[in-house]
Amino acid sequence: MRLPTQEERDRLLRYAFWIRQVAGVITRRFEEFFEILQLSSPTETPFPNLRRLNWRTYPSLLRFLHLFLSPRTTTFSVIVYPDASFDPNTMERDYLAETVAGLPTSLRELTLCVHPARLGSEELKEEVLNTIRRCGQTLEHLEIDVELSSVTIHHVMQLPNLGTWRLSRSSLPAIAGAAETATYLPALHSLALSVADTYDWISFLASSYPTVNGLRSTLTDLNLRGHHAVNPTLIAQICAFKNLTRLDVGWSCPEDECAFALTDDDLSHLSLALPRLEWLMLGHQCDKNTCQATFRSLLFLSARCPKLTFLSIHFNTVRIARDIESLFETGDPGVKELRDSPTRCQIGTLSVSKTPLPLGGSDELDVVKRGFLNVFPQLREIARRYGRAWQSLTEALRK
Amino acid sequence: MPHKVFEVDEILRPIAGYVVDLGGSSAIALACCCRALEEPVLSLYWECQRLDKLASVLPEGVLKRSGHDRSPYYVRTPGNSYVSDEFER
Repeated sequence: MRLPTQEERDRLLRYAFWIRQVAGVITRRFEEFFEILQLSSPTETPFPNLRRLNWRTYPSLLRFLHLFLSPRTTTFSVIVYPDASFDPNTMERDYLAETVAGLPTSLRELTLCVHPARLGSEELKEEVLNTIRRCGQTLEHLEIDVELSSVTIHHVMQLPNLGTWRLSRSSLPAIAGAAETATYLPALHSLALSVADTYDWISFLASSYPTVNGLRSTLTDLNLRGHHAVNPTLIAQICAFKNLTRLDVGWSCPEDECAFALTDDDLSHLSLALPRLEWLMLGHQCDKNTCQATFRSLLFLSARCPKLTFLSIHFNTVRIARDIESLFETGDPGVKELRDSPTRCQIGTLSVSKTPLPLGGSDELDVVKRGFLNVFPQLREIARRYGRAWQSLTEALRK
Repeated sequence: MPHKVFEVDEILRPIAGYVVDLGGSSAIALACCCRALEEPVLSLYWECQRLDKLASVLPEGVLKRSGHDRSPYYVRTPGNSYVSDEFER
């Protein structure tokens, strides 16, 4: 290895000048190259026109991050993964915090995910707050996987143009007082919560505080992946966000019991409250078959949410053939109207995961097939299925 | 003396964009054939290139190149004609 000549450095900087986007996994194989970049441009960034920086990297490489700090940066996304051979205690400076401190006021998207969490230093949290203050007028996307202080969250709530907010590890009590003094909440269209007190957050955001009025109508995407129990109380709060098109509560039941606590009535209420749903994920189905929701819920959702393209809910199949027959024979005017209505969603693939399908014979298979085709006329595939009965149903649906 | 049409950025950039979309070798060929087209074509070509490709601009001996691929790149050196690795193969 030799040092590059001046001519070689000039050539390198000439091409670097034009680069507007750097994205990808940054591994140690770039170390040598970054050192040459640093040598070639010791005082100024080699990438003066860089707009979008998207790094997936390791703590030991953060010392080169400042090389990519451009006055024209609009997207700054850094995800730091654990590095087994790296000891954070040996890090002399918080390079991530130093780089965040230099972000320009034109910043629109800020993503910072730091693992292990201990690397999310106090200095970094302070710089995040300063950046939110400095870039408040332009920030549209904020994803911070570091615990934020109540002061920082209070400032986030004042950002006028924030559309997407992904929040982790921050608790509501810290902002409970701030909510009363907030002038308004941003008109978010996407919110992702990965926090321990999800219910408190949702009930606050769905409350009748004047400060959250706007959010209730603008939110279209709600992701509660960190939450591990779907119960009627939580769903009732979520129903306040009338324009949701995507609701994702990705979770799995514990091994010993089914934690899906919704009934047909709860899901009927959900389908009435959120008619614009396109994606509904209420957890992966388990094999306990003890939930209270039945096949009837599928009808409610398909008939009242015609834009649905993905659906994953628990439904009890212990008496599925009889449930379907009763659905066709019932005199209940509400159910009859839905059953006979032509309005249905266009789902072609239904995910059933570990849901069992106990069938008594070919007669029951015909009933179940007729039921599924009534509810999902486009259905041709049962995905993520376990057991031969689902296979038989899939083959019957395709005939 | 290039034709005056080559001084109009509104004409050059769409042409450069079209050729860059066709692929790296087409872009490099166009940049090599006309000095007026070199800047708009190369600026578009490099806009979204990977760091790997930028690293490959450095000649052998500067980097160990253990991890960097030898993807085709465009090099112009004083005293030489426009040369690209791709054309040398």
